[in-house]
Amino acid sequence: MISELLDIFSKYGIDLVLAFILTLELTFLSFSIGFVGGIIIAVLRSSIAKPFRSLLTLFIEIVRGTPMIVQLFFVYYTLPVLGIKLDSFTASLIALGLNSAAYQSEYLRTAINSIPREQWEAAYSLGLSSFSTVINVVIPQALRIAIPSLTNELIYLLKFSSIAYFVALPELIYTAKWIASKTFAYMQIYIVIALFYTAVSMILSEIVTRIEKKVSIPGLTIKVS
Amino acid sequence: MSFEEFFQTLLLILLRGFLNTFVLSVGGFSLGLFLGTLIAFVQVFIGGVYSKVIDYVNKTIRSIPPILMLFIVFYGLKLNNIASAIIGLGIISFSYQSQIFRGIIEAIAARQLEAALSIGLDRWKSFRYIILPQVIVLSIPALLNEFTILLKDSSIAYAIGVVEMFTVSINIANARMEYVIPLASVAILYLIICYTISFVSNLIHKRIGSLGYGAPL
Amino acid sequence: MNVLLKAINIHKYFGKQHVLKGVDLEVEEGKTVVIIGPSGSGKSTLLRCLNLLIKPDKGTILFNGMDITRGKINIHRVRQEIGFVFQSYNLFTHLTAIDNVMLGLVKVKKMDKSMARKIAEEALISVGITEDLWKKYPAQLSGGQQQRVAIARAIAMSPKLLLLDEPTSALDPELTVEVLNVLEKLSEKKMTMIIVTHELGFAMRVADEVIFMEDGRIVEKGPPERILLAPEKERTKIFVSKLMELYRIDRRYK
Repeated sequence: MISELLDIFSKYGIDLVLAFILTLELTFLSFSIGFVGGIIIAVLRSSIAKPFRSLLTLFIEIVRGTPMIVQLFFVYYTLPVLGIKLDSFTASLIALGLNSAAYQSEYLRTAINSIPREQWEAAYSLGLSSFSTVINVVIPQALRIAIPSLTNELIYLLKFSSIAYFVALPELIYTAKWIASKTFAYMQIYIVIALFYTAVSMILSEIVTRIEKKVSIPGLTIKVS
Repeated sequence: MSFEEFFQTLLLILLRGFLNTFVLSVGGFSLGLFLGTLIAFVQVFIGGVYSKVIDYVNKTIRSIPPILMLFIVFYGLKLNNIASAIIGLGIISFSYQSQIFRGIIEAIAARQLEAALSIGLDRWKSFRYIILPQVIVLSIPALLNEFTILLKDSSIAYAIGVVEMFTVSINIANARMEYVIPLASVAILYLIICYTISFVSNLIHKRIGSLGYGAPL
Repeated sequence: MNVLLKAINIHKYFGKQHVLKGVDLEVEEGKTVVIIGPSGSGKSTLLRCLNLLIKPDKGTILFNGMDITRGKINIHRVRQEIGFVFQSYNLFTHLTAIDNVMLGLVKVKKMDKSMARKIAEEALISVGITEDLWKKYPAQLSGGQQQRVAIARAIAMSPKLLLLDEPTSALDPELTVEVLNVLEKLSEKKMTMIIVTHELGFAMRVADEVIFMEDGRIVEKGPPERILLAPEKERTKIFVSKLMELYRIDRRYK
């Protein structure tokens, strides 16, 4: 069986590597979009007028209440109606990015709410505006508190980058299935890929833990998510 | 795009697809529940090296994309597609459910067990009458949340050909060459179901709070 | 003497609770006013109304002649002139001591960093925080050190008025002294201050006026010798004697 596997990898190794790169790209880019989007949404939700806030809340509830695949298909198949035709990568990126932004804004919101009111009071007493307070006092603390949730989000995106399979993007799952259908070595390939995802997850977790240590501030407790 | 057309599509998807969505969700959840409680027990009451092994297995299961899990069960165990989906979803679910139960048991077991033993109940009775009821009640909000996740993930079964709600909506879309209405309809269906469940979950959560249990576990 | 702050008929409700029931207050420039009273008397609420952290439901507050309770006022500018020191210090957890002091200068007063740093360093030294502590995070400092940094943070903004809400209540006795000394120095330098505290010895020595509050109202006010040693109102007598018993302060303080 091992020799069979090695055979397969020598033949399709390049495809797998390319697929892996695509998967990583999708994961990190959508996380970044989600991160920036999440901060923007969180800040907006705590400052702007009621009607806009409700719109944002509606967006978040829709994202949380529907399957990821529905969101992907929506982006991929319905945007063309408006004239925007997207390729699989961009569509997946947008869908994953928006999804992540909704979730990350919620994680941030929880973290922000866990910051004692007294920090806000102290900032106001110095004359800081609410916007300034959020940027200089609240967000730096909230981000650190949110690290465990954000780590989970990264791993989640790694897993769900596989959703792009459904729009024929040659990421890992799609490529694996393609190879499997050609070589009939379904189980072997899938198990290897599964172990591969596990390994990558563990590495990512470890990296984040190291980063967490670097930015940690004595006294700023990380709440259990 | 009339309202009637919309409503019609919604009903169509519901009628053709809901049964399987239900079967997959409830089936997967039950499997996860059964295995999850078992695993939680082993981890809390037996612990040691078994617990560590289980932790690794859980980590692995949770790193695998759901589609891949379904493929492994479907192509590996060569079962029919609904059974594979239930088993695949069940495996993923049990890894999360076991941690939910474990957390709750660990949070309340120590002190409640002490109290129970000190009034003369033996271990088994303490467990059955004092700890178990509390664990069940306390875990409901988290379990309902897990159920909604499973419900949403059941749409992945589209990949192995199970005719659940999402598959139906895509079939309709392909037949009509029009995606907006079917997708919007199925999205609304999922929203309604998920929202109802989380509404109920909130009610229960509040009730639990008023029983004297503090911050969310 | 210039009246720096004047509060007229301040009322505040928290839901059904009438917390402040018509409070009148006047503070002259350069004076130190101490407010004493049982918990729940509304002292903290009153203080927070003065820099509008809490909005009074009724009443007017005149700061330097200007009515700051009118909606049109830019409250952020006003707060630059009023410093506030909290019972639980409220230092920004994610910033070092010196950054805590510099934040207001850089972000609110828009000073450039080098200027802000100089002022911050002076403020920290004036409260006795030496250079080796400047780069520490709040969690690495003792309570007394944190509170002194909080005072430095407030005075670095060169406020006209300093409000302190039980600045030493959260501190161990040994640490209380170092903070009280700092406040005494500030009083000598004629910083206008309103301090809510239980430290009667400090009030006796440093206050120009002592106000006794109970149940949302000012019961009695006057110079410390009168209020603390020979109060006129019965309720004042009861409260003061209870506190004195607690702290075992000799009637004739010196």
